[in-house]
Amino acid sequence: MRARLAQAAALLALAGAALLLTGFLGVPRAGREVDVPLTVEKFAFSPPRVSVEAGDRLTFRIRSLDITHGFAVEGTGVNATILPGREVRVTVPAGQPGKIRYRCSVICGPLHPFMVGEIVVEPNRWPLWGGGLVAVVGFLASAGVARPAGRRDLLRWRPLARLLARRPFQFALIAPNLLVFTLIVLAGLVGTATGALNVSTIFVWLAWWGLLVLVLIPLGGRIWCAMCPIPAPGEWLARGAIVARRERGWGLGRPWPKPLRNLWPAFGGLLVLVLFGLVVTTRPLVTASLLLGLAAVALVTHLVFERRVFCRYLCPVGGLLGVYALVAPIELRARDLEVCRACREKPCFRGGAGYPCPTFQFPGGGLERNTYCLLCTECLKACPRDNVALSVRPFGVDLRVSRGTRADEAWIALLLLGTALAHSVIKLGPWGWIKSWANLDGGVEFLLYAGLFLGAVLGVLPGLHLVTAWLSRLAARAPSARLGRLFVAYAYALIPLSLAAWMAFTLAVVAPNLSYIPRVLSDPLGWGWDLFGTRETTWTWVPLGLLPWAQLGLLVAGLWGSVRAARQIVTDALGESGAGRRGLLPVAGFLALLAWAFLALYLG
Amino acid sequence: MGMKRAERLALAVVLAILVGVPAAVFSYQALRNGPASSGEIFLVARTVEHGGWSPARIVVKQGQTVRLRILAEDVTHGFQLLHFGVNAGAIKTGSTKVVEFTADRAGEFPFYCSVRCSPLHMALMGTLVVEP
Repeated sequence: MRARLAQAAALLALAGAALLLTGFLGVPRAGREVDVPLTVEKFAFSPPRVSVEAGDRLTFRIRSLDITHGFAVEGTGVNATILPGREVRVTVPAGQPGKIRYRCSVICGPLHPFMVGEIVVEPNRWPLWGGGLVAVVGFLASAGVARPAGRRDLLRWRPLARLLARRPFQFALIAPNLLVFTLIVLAGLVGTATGALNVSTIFVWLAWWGLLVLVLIPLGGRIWCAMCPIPAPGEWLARGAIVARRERGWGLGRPWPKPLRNLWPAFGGLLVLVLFGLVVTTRPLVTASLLLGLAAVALVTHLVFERRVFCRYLCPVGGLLGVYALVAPIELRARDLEVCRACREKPCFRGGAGYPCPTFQFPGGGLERNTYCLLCTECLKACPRDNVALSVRPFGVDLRVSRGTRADEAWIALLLLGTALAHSVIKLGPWGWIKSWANLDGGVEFLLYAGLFLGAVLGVLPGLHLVTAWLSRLAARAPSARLGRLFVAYAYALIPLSLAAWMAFTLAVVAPNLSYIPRVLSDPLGWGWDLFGTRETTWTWVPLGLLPWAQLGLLVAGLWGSVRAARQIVTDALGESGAGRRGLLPVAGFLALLAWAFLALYLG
Repeated sequence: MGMKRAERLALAVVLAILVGVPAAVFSYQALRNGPASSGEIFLVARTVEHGGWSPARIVVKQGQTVRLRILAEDVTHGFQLLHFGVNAGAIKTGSTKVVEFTADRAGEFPFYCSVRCSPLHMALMGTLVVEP
């Protein structure tokens, strides 16, 4: 019965995909001529969304209400400059069904990179068939059988093991990042205030963030923490050494206060950061101040408290990375727990040839999840028995480890998912009013925006999540299961989907704006330099036709991972039998709904 | 390599970064704007809200051939110096345009932005001083 259901679902998915394709390959009919009066003003087009039939020809009559803007249409060569005071006519054929974005192509202020509008070419089947695909994938994932996880220890390859065990290794990772960090802070403080022309904003929020979300997190989890320059100066001072192992440094080495031994401080920092996200990511001075501020806090905490408590409890990015590292296909663990049990000195935890674990982890016992492992390789240097493994493993394994799940981590997972949705609406959507509200243009408007944002991220989404947990308990007929427990446990199932959503979001932010990178490399401070002759690199469109497909693929893969994790988590919470299977239904349904919401937002 | 040497090398690298980056940036900028540079005058256009023309007062000698390189720093601007028949047209954000003219009359002449750039666009004015 189950197998036949799965087969039927697969057939349905194939049929859906075929129909989706016919929608894209359909020959456009000769359509109407559509006349669109369009006004542009910082930082929105009006109307923000135009809906037409495939085959129509749109003629935009564009006027600027304030200053000079541009009008560039995705996937076409159309790129016009809209000077104030004269009307520009631009003709755009609406060929294939789907969504065509147009955006401002002349830097007009801080929010310029997010000034977009949309042409929806009907019949747009993306949301419909994407939704079908999501439903089918969700169903298949919930029915699938879990395979035992295979692992491969990378340190069996001796040259790598020897390299990682060398003391200067981590410094070699940090030094180049310290160089970039210094330039970024300097440029943010003294360079141009125009975000799109300053290396600080472009490198942090385009290059670093893009690399982090699209490559480092999905492949390496917290590997950024091993090379992050922000805590480095404090750590060096506290240790009294940069590469060498010294017993006494200049830090006071106080214990971190007990009530703060959790991720709530990081949660708070992250919340402030994402609330002011639009301001932080577009202002060089704010970006530089943020980095300097983090470095200052890190310096003080290193000098006062023991080990790397900043990275363990305080760093907002650390909180984000810690939660997503659970998914990463890499882990640092002990090879043989028996060896660790027999080990009396436990130098990986207490210190020996290497420094003691900066985040208080003990590979021989407590380290079962990636959340707090910085991959700094100190335990590798400390272990006298060569008992540390750095392994490649399947995605998402840690999500199924129920030991150590906590409310603070769960709330970070919820916050991250909500923020992915909110920032997709604010930054990628065509709605100018919310952009200007979020941009601190006015006090009252910002308060309204803050209310909306916090309500959605801390209220509505966790509320829906709680309802899901309640429904799951109801469906499983297990009233004795504690709702709060389920709320926390189920939050871990959101993580693969929310990471995939961040990747889809980041792809859509980074891809169209890549040409800023050669510009700021040539003129990092916006002072008119031209170091490499690339300062006048004009706006170019990378092949954006692939973007919807990439977003669809990412979201479907994320949903798959999330439902698979949910299956395990629900079974652990409610039992192996029919109860677990019935309890999974609301959770898988909620996940599919979330995936569809992102799809509809990006492609609908 | 001994640990002592590695430590000293690492310290040297860190200091070189922390001191070297600002030193390199500021000395390169000083070199570009120095008297021995190309002879161009570098003029930055910003909206009045963000400081206006920089420099707002340009002093040249009568009879001199003046080359201005104008950078639009925050939004799209223009450059107009009507007394010498100069109009650079629109200068898009982040790009530069070069204008050249001979300062054949002595006196003080206003120059303006010619592309609406902010509510205070009309006030975006600078002065060219031609000394006899």
